[in-house]
Amino acid sequence: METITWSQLAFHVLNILVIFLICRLLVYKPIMKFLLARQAKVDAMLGAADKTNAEAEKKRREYEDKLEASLEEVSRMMNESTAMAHARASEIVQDAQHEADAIMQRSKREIEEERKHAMHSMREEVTDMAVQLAGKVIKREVTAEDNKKLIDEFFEKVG
Amino acid sequence: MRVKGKLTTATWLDEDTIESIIDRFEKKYRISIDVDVEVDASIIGGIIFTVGDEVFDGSARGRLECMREQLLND
Repeated sequence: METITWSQLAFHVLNILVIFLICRLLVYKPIMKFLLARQAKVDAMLGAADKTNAEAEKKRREYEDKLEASLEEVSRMMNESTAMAHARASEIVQDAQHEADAIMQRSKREIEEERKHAMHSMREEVTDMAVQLAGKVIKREVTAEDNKKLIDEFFEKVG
Repeated sequence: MRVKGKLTTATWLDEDTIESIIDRFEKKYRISIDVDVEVDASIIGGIIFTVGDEVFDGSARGRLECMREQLLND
């Protein structure tokens, strides 16, 4: 069995130390530098992403607020339009009712006027006929005595 | 003062009656009237005496006219 001497052990330890130092100098530092740079880049990207997210969230809220305000405005305008339409409809109905009442009143007045006119004409015709008939009868029946009586009555009236 | 007048009768009247009618008017209004006598059968009976612008209607036709007006105004 081969034995390791203290000098060999020291040599190996020294070798390991040298290799460790070389590795540390040539591999560890660049890798760490690379990793740190990568970490910084990732952090920067994450920061930018957070900022973008925050801005996006802010804009989203702004849009939501604007959308809500727009919806409220549209709702208010629709309510106003509906109220105006109802008011206008009521006004039109009232106007139509007033006009209908006026037409009805006017028609009643015209009918009443026509009726009165017709009644007057009829009365006039009947009266004329009656008077003409009475005149014919009197003319046929009147005597000299009646004539004298009429003259006497006339003088009684005149005085 | 003499005034123009017209006496309208339904039939011919005798002179006395005409004179009597004119006399009564002259006495009532204290004027002299020149009267034209006219016969108009359409007055039916009685007389119409016109003096100046005044018309005194004592005819049957006048009475019928009054009656007609009253009937229409009732």
